[in-house]
Amino acid sequence: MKNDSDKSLWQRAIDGDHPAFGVIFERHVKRIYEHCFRRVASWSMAEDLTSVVFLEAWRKRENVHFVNDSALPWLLGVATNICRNAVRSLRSYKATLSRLPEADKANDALESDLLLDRLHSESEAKVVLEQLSRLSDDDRVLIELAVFEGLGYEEISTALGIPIGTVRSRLSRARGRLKERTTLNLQFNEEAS
Amino acid sequence: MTPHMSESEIERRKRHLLAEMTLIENRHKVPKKRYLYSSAVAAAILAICLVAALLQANSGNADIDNPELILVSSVKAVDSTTDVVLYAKETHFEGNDSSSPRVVSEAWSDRKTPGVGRVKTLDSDGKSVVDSSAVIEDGKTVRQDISYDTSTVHVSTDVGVEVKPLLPDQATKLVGEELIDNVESLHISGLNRDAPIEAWVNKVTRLPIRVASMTKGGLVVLDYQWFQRTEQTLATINVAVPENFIHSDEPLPSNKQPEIPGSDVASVVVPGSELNEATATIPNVAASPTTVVSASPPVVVIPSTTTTVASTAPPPAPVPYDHTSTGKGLSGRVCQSHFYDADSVYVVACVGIWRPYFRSENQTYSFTGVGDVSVYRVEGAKKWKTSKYLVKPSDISLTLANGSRYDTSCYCQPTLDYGSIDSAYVFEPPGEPHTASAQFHFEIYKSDDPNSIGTFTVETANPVIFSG
Repeated sequence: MKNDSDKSLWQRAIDGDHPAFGVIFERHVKRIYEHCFRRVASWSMAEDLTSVVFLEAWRKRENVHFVNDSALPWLLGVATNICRNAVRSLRSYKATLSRLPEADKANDALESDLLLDRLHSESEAKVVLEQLSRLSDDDRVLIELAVFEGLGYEEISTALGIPIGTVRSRLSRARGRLKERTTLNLQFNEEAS
Repeated sequence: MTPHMSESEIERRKRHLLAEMTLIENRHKVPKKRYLYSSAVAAAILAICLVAALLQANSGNADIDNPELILVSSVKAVDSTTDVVLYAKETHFEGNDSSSPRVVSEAWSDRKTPGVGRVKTLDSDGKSVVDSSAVIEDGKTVRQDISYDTSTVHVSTDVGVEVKPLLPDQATKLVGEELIDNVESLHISGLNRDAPIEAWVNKVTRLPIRVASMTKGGLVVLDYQWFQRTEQTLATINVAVPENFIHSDEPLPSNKQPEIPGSDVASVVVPGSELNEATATIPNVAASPTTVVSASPPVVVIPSTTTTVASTAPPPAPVPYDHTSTGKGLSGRVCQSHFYDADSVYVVACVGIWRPYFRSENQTYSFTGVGDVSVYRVEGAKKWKTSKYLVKPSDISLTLANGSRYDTSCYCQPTLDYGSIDSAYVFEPPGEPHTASAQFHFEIYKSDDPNSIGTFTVETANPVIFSG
């Protein structure tokens, strides 16, 4: 099952084989979490938002779009929308999230290095977020998908639900504004540069 | 810059996702297009399918293991059952044992005619105190309140009597199947306005037959009975005025009017005391599955001194924050403090670590503080995150043994359920070890009010050693 494509796993999950969706979750959870974290700069909130993304993806499972049999671009699009209204999204899923099994706090506390990493990452993320906040939200999302997620035009098009031509023109303008308004030196995916 | 999600966290969330998928599937089922064929055979098959589906729905087994679906079916059953007279009885169990159940009110409601009903309150001897009934006359609701204290009858218009069965607004657990007064029922645990509540619904009809909740005064049990709407059952709503009672044109003062059973359960919750120290539990009113309900359930009542504290309570005292070396660095423990308002007890809990280290790039010491701060509402042994209050880290104070004091700003993010304190920097020459104590300051807000209502400080119980 681990080697199956997202498309085939997705269909199996819809047909009742729920663990197949668990494989998709394992496959993409880190990318989705990283994307959420970059959007909200809070690891604890990003964790809950990641859960919400997959729950919402399952709710909208009939609307999925695959790019080369991968659900990742579409999932990133779902994540972008979820994070855009992070507080509202978390409230919508409050009852569901309240059923999360208790974490083992004792073990968590021992994972001191992980926690330190997280705290440092948050402060670094906030520095980047502060710079990116000088751009419009549309520009930010485009740049995050192209730079941090390394998506190409077609994948961004699927994630955001806009035509490829629009992705090209918007991204070009967004890069111009990025250079103009921030000091960030970001590496774009070659396909999207 | 991105932190990792731990493998244990991924596994925890995957299990949660898989558990929730069926629920989502049932809630958001995508309707399939159905194609009807004109042949008689297809129609017959469809009819058979419909009958089978109805039988399945009525059998009560389709959602038997899902408390939320049971709750949904119960709400639907209440909404759609109108050709009945609903009887409700509110019983209080006071004191530290179950020996003193007292029926405080009874009510009847004609579900087909909104506003038509009766409610009466009873004293400790079971005698009526006020008996109010409402009927429709000439298209108007006419209500009479019989006060046995003053031997008066008060007539007013437009204010009816209506019983709305209390149900959880969130079901969290299916406890099991139990017999309540020889009726097979499904026992679910849930929350009503954030307060724990137990409910028993008829296994077949899904109509609620019992609800139990803790309140300030102790355990409150509501019993419901659903009678066919007949002349005889409707007659229970009409009350004859006793002889010699004096008619008054003044309506009975609202504070003397009887309350519908369950009205206080929905608005009163019982605070617990300390986190992890349960002082109140919702007892299982049905003694055990498949046994007839005992009329005297066991009950634990919270000492009255801990029930309510005004919202103007002084800010909580600082709480020691443990600071323990694990060899790999320094790891913190869960720390907590609590505060009160008129409704409940809240715990501010933080989990995290703090560790000083040397930053060579700017020749300063730096340390990282508390990782996660949340506000929980506590009811007895249960606690859950609440968005009623926000906790916002404000700053970190650090006092070195040499007297230097740093009131550092921190990367404090706006919080809803979350809060974290990040790094702070200490500008001291490297080389010599420095000993410091630290305090993390938080402000507590009501989520709908930007004005802070108090502050909360976590301070280190043990000194922190900075060394280059």
